[in-house]
Amino acid sequence: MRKNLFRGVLLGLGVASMLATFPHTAAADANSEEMTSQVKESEQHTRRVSDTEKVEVGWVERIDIYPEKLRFDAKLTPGSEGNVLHAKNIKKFKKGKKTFVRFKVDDKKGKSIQLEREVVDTTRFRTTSGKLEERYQVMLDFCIASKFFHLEFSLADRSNFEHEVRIGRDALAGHFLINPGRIRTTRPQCKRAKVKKKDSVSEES
Amino acid sequence: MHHCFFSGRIPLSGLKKLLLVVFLLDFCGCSVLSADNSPEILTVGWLEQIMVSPPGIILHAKLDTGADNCSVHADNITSFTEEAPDGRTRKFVTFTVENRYGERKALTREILRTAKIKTKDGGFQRRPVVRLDICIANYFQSTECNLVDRSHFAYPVLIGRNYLAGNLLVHSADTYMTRPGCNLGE
Repeated sequence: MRKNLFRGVLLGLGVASMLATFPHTAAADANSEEMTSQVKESEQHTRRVSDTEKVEVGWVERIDIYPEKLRFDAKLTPGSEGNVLHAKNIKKFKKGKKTFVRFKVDDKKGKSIQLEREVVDTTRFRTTSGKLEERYQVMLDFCIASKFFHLEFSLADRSNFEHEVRIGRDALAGHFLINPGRIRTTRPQCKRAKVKKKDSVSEES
Repeated sequence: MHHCFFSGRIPLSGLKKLLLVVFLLDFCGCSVLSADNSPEILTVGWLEQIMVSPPGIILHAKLDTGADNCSVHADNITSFTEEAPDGRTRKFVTFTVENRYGERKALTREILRTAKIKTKDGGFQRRPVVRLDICIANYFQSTECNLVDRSHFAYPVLIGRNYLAGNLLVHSADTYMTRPGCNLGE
C-alpha cells in the first residue's frame, strides 16, 4: 500500500517537473493569443531572408565546454556582443611569463569543478561603489548544436542570474537564428576534430 | 490511512509508458503542445525600427532574447491617481519618449503593476509597467513594457521575450531587416 503512495508521489513530482519546463512554450501561446493581430503580409515592409544554412535554436541551449566536456545551459543573447561565464573563486597566477587564472564553476549536479585557463585580456573598471576591479578574459573551446567554437569569454563573478553561460553575437552571428519561444532544442554534437578558429573581430551591421 | 492516487484499474506500467513519452517530448523541446512549428514565422534582426502607436512614433529597438520583458526609456515620468465612479482608484503615468530624429511624444497610460527589474550589480529596481501597442515589420502586438532609464544605452527600447516568443525569430547578425508597417484595419 505504501508502494502505491510512493509511486503516486513520484508520478506527481514527475508531472510537476515537466509542467515547470512547459511554461516556456506555453507562455508563447498565451502571448500570441492575447491581443495580437497578424495582418496580411505586405512585401514592401518585410524581407524574408533565406537562412537555410543557419540553424534555428532556442534562447537557451545546451553547451559543452572542452576539453573538460562540462555541460551547461547557455543563454543565447544576440543583444550582447561577447560571451560570459559565471565563475567563482577567480584567482590569477603566473606560469613563467604567462598569466593564468584558476576558477570554479558548478556542474549540472551542483558539484564545483576547478578550471585553469590562460588570461588573454584583462579589463579594469570601477564598481558603482568605487572599488577597482579586474575582469579576466580567457579562451574557451565549446560546442553548441553541431558548431564548435574557440572564442573569448569574460569571467564574471557569481551573481544571482539563472544561467551560468551567456553567448553573444560573436559566436551566434552567421550560425544561429534564435527562436525566443523555445529552449533546449539541441544537444551539443561536435566532432572533436573540427576546431574552427573563428575570427572574433568581425562585426556585421 | 493512506490515499491511493489511482484506483488500481489503470495498470501503472501503461501510465509509466505514457509518462515516459511525454517526458521525452518535453525534454526534446518538441513543440507538440506549442502552436509554433510554422515555417512562416518572420525573422527580424536583433535591431529593428518599431512603431509605437498611439502616439505614432518610430523608435530604434534592440530585440533581446535574453530579456524577459519589454523595457522602454522614458523621461519626465509623473504618476497620478484617478478615482473611478465606482470608487476604485486607478494609477496613471505620463511620460515622454524621444527617438533618434529628435521627435518627442508624450504618453499617458494606466500603471498595470510595478515590476522588480534586475540591475547589473545584482540589485533591484521598482518600475511602472504599462501597456504599449508595438508594431515590428507587419507584426502587431499590444504588450506590457516597463518604463526605465535607458539614457546610457544606444537603443531606447528593449524588446523581450514577452513580445517575441512564438511570434518572431531573431537574426543574430543582421539588423534593420524590416520597417514597421502594420495595417490596423480595426
